[in-house]
Amino acid sequence: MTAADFKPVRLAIVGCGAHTEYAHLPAAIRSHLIELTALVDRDLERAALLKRKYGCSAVTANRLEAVVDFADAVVIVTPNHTHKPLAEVALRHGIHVFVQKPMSTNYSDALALCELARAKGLIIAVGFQGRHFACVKLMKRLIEEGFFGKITGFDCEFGVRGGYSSVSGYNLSRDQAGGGILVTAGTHYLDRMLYWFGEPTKVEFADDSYGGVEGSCKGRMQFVGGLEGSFFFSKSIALKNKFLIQTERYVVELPASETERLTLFPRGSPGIRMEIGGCAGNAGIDYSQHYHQVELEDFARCIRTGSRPVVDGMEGSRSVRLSDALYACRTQLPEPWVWYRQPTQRAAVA
Amino acid sequence: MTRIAVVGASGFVGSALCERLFFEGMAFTPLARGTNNAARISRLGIPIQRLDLVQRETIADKLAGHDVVVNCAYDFAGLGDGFDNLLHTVKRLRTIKFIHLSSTSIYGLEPKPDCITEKGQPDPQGWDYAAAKLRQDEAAFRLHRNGIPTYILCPGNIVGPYSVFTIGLAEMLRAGPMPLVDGGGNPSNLTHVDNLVEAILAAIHCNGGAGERYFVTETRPVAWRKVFEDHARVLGIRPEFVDVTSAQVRPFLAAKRRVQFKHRAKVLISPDFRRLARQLPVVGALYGLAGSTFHRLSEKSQNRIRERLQWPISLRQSGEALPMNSRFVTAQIRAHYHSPNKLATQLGWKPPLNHEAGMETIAEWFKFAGLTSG
Repeated sequence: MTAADFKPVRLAIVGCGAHTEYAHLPAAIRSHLIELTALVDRDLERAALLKRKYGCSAVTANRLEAVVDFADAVVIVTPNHTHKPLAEVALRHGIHVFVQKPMSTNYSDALALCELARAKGLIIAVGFQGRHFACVKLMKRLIEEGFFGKITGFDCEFGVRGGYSSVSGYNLSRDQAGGGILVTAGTHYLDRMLYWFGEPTKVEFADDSYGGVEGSCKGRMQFVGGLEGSFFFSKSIALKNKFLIQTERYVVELPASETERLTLFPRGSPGIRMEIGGCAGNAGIDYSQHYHQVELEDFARCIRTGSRPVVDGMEGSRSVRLSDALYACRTQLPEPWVWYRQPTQRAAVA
Repeated sequence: MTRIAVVGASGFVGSALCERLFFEGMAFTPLARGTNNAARISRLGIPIQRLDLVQRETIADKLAGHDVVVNCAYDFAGLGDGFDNLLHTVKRLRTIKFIHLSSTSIYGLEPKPDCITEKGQPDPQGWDYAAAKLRQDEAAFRLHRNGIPTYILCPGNIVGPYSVFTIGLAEMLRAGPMPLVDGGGNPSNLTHVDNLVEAILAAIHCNGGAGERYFVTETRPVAWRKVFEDHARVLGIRPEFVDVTSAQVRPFLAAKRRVQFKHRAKVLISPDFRRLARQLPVVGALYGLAGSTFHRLSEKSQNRIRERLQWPISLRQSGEALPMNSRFVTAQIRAHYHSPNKLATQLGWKPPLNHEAGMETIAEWFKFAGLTSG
């Protein structure tokens, strides 16, 4: 299908929070494959504000049902606990669904959505923009081709203090977010682990929650063939923010912000650092600026061609299953510096 | 049970206070402007109330029903209106107690000898930040005179797990070498965050002593050299020092003071600000007038204006220039120890951590955060 033949997909965006404001909405407006037709938010003023901000001609509404006649597809960027009910509404009205990660707050809901989409013959895609990064695809390809030799281990750290404030504050509620840092940011990295290394056979997990959503968590995983890996995610500590993958021939470094290249340190050659990049993907696209556009365009093309999205519902549900498994074996993350919670308090000797 | 409102709960001290109140089983409400930095309190499962101190009309609803208000909010840009709005509301609600976090910085970058006790006369010495903190103190004292028992706690640089100061110090020690001012013998006046929280608890529980300022520092002076050596030890690195004198550091203090006014002026003349402001018709016209007037001035006059607002242009020497303007260097010039004796005797403060115990908490946290070597 040539660009001239492509009939733009009429798109409604549901949820007009910070992520829509800075990511999905500008991406949809930029794309010639998409015609933005509706902005939906429970807070109608918020939808109108974004419409004015970007000067778009979309209709605004406070319910998805009000715009189903204007849309072929919907992007759901709402608090996590609403993903499933909103996706169901869309699918039942014959509308294709793109849902921001995590797909749902539990695995059974994710499977139910996949089944509904299959029964209706509709596409469900999940927003993991990192999967479109050239370096992430290249890593997968090189693992499959045996370029690195045996993969022996990995460490993944992602931690930032602050970030943006969600408009709804959903991320402070376990009921609404489905968890803390593991599902809000960590799920991006869980998805990559699954994509590259497959399903773990054993997991361990600890977080710092005392009834609320965890701010920091650590975990370990084992995979078939003896591969072991660890992760550390935090919203209260700035961490190294990278994957470090130990392989037979190289140590591979992949910073969280990198979209194009892998950095390799050959074993047995100290002081040598190599950067490699691939030519796969959408040539001419600046990934660092436009990956939200890339994933929306993948979704739009799949709608028109009937092909499978890079991250479809079943693929997107894998990280939900993994986070369910991690939470199921949760233990309390030790904080030995917190003297007033220890069995024996330190003496007041100052 | 006393109900405590923690204003600025998502900040470093606010988070530490909320954690302690939570594990002590005390009744409290965390209040924060945004949710982006609230990870340490959102894990507790206590609902966080949004509070923007600039929105005066919304404050009373959030503070009503609380006996004690602890102000941990730190917002240099908003040190004016927001704080006044908070005090206005506390006064109107007849809150039983108000606890305000000030700073030993009110004595300036190079304090005078009388600052060893709280009787010393604060003197910001032209430092904008200190002047703003002192204005807040004065407003808090007025609140006390208006019938709301008020406690003003003045910590030094606050260290401990999650402390930006502690993390910055670790980075500086790693980068090395650390300039050691006058042999590193001056008192560091650091405050472990857990000891500061204990001081807040002492102020919450005490029956007297309101309307006073209290220093919160180590109960005995700890010299900078020891601070650096101990941090290096728990980081697993060998510290490198370069001896410098206070006379070498003093010019950098002057620059630190001066930059405050110029920073604001620079915002006004920055290209981004001018571009946006010019889009407003009135501003655009005024800007055009100012621009044409400026260009009619002699080159010498133009340069004099530029010199006042934009010069000197800051260029770093390539190579191994010492970071003399770092806060870890300029802080070493403070020669006097701010004794917390008054806090201990009048409010019954019993700091749970001495320097060594405090370092143990930092060591454990460094390990957790992956900051140690090896």
